[in-house]
Amino acid sequence: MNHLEKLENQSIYIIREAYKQFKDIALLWSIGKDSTTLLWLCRKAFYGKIPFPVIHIDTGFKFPEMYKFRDEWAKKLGLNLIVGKNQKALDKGITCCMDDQMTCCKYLKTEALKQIIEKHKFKALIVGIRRDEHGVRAKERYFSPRDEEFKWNYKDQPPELWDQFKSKGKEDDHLRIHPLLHWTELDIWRYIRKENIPTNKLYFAKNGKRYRSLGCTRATVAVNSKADTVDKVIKEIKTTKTAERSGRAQDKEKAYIMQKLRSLGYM
Amino acid sequence: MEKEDMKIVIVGHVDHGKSTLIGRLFFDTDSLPKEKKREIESICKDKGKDVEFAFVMDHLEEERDQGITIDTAQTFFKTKKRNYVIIDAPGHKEFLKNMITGASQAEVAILIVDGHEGVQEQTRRHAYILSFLGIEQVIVVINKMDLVEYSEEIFENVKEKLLSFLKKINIKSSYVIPISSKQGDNVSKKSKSIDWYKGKTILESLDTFYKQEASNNKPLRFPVQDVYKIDDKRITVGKVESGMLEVGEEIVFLPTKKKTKIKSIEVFEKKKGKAESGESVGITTTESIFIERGEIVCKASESVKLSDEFKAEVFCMSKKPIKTNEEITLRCTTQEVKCSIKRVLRKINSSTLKIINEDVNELKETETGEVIIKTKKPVVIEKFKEIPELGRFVFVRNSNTVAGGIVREVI
Amino acid sequence: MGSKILVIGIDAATWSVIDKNLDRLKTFKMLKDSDDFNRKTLTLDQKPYSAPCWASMFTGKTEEEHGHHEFVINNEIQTRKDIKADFIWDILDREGKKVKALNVPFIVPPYNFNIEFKAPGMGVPTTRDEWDAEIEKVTKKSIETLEKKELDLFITCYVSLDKIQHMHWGGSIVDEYYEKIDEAIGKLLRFGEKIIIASDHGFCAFGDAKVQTLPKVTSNGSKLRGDHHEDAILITKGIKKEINNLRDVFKAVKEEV
Repeated sequence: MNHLEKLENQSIYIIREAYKQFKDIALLWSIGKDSTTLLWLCRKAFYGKIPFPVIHIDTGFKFPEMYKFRDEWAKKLGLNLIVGKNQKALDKGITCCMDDQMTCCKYLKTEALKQIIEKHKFKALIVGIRRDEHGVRAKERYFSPRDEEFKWNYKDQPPELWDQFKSKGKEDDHLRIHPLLHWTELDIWRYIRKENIPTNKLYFAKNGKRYRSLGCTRATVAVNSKADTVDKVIKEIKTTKTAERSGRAQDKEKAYIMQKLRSLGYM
Repeated sequence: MEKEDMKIVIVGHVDHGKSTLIGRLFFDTDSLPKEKKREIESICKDKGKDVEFAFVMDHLEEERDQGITIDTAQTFFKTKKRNYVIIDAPGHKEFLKNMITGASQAEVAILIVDGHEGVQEQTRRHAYILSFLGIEQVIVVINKMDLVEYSEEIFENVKEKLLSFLKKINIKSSYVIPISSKQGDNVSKKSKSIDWYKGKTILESLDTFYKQEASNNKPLRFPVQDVYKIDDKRITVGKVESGMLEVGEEIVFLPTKKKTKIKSIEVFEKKKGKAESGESVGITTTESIFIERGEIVCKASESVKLSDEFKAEVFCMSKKPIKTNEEITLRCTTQEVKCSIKRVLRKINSSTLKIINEDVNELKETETGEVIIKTKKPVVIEKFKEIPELGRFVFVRNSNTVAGGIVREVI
Repeated sequence: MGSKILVIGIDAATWSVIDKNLDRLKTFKMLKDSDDFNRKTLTLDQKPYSAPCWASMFTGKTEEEHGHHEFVINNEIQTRKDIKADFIWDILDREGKKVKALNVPFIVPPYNFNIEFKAPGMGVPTTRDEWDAEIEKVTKKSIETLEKKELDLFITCYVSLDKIQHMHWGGSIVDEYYEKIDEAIGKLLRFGEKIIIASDHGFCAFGDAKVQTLPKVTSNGSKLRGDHHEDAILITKGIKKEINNLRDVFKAVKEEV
């Protein structure tokens, strides 16, 4: 087996373990490249037909291209798609990234997801995070418990070894399952190339800019790039040394500091 | 040709210089983000030799604690031969569960010891865990040689002490290297200050290590993970743990002893005649038989022993001790059975290796014991040395893993 | 190990709260009773804004001279590079002295010299967790640093009290955190031969301030209960120079090193 085949086989094993343990399970699909790769792997794991719902959390202000992409592929793959929206918050006038990302994420993402979990009584969610994506994710497990507040206590997690994963305890609200944890950004793109996985065109350069990760319209910043094909993207990532989420992060941190200063009357 | 990845874990006592070494490896292999490198270089220039590479890692740690973004490039470094992915494994005793989780995924390990302070509690415990996990490719580095004036005598002294400890736990370290991560001695470049050492640098040593081969030549073990009904086919899915699956092969399901033949190997949108170890596949059989998760597919032509009693080494990771005769769940691949520790033959402090004579009817946190385990139902279990995948198991209590175990002898 | 001069900055610490709680603030009580320590009220001769005040304390220059007026100007967060003046650590470092500074809040996140540190809440702690984390981490990092090396000057600062007072002036939570700060500085004192403990400004009920520095209602709609006061605190040990304004802190340190 080559590198990508090893990654794929390990992920399929984890997805099957998750489904064996939980029938009340769903896949979180952000329409981005990682969760679309994960969708692909789920399809493979279950021979074409994903036996659980796929959730998309709609913050109301995503790129229009993403909706089109979502509906087209949901139809093609015969997905049981659940779209989550915190309508109350949207009605109240909370809009995506209006003030700062924290408010947006809290009400439009976390709350919407909480509502869906409650309504459908999901006990586990399959999520496409990767260990290399974020500092704190280096400490993540494949099976990771969350409490009612969705909090994750990374300092006191049970050990996870030899493909033996945690089952849901009484104190856990639900489990997050991370079949892509061991993949890197480069692995994802190589796999996308190998499998011809459909990707949103926003990932490819147009007028000298492209997106390396997709969030909400106003929280995601395009990076300078000439990579307009999968091959070029792979070549670019191999040589680049800036963070995948850097477009997002700086703005996020700045917005966060400003919001705090404002709350204290400093601005 | 794409470069291969190798997973590496750096372990050792807290403050023995893990962070500085990682910082140095990133820096010397040009794997740092541009801004970070510039920042360090400017400090370098201002301060002369007083560069603190731990800066890089401290920075990461702080960020990790707070969930702030770090750079992708900072999780691996590159050599000419391959990419090394650094697995997170904290040095504090409180984080042992994280350390063991990290280390269990590693293919190679660097054990770091402060030349000035010598071998300490976590040095020994981490070494023991490497041995327990069966990680055979280990580099020992004796760090902070600059603080002991690059003294060969001090190096020899620490080295001998450590090697005699490692011998007891069956780690045969391929390399023992005197280094100073801070000054860059023998990390990526040969040291001018340590002219008495003629061996390899860390990077040179790492590049001599090999990737684990798939266990294709071993007896077939294909644990059943689940059974799917797809259209009108019943597909038995699982991961080949050892050996090879082949269409037409006569197989037996254990422990039920049902026999049949493999009709097809099922992978989505692909035809396959064979599947090697590590592959997640499905099979259909010529006879339609009812089986469940936890059965092990073996070759009918090979005799496989079912056991309900075996000798194992168990490492406890639970605050609440594991007592003899306590009913506990054992998981080995997809097998899950109730079992109990029948007897503790001897228990040992995982750092000092001293035999513990108190409370011999239970294993406490960080204690390791040679025990006899009795399962309620027979299982397919093997000596770790023969088929590692079937020779390791965990104990589960209240849905959490509380101990890891290695099978030493099947009775 | 330790530092020849230890400067502990406590953003917005004020005598009115300390003296009221003296029976539960063991360190401040000790500092008051000890003959080795001098305490006084440092009445500012400049506007009691945190950013310029801290900058004055460690550059020895007035606000006009160092030109640093706000944390954020034209929607850009100000950084060290935006301030053209030399700070005490720049000067002493050039002279070959061993200097480290931790969490100095003239900018956000606070500035560190020769130390890698990420302040909880990005240096603007606004929740209990972040206040606790700040006090704990600044203290821990300070002790670690001071135990490792002999220094000529070590500066360490806490910002939590300022934020707590902004939000909860008059509430019992303010007293509670003074107690935590009291305990924290109690752990640091043994590392300094000569010591300066100072705040950048004091605090008072909104409306009691001579110069109103903050809006009654912030731009996100929350009401502020307190405002900055012109009386800062000052405690010294072994410092010969008479300190009469923030700039004198810089001068005193320079003299004593």
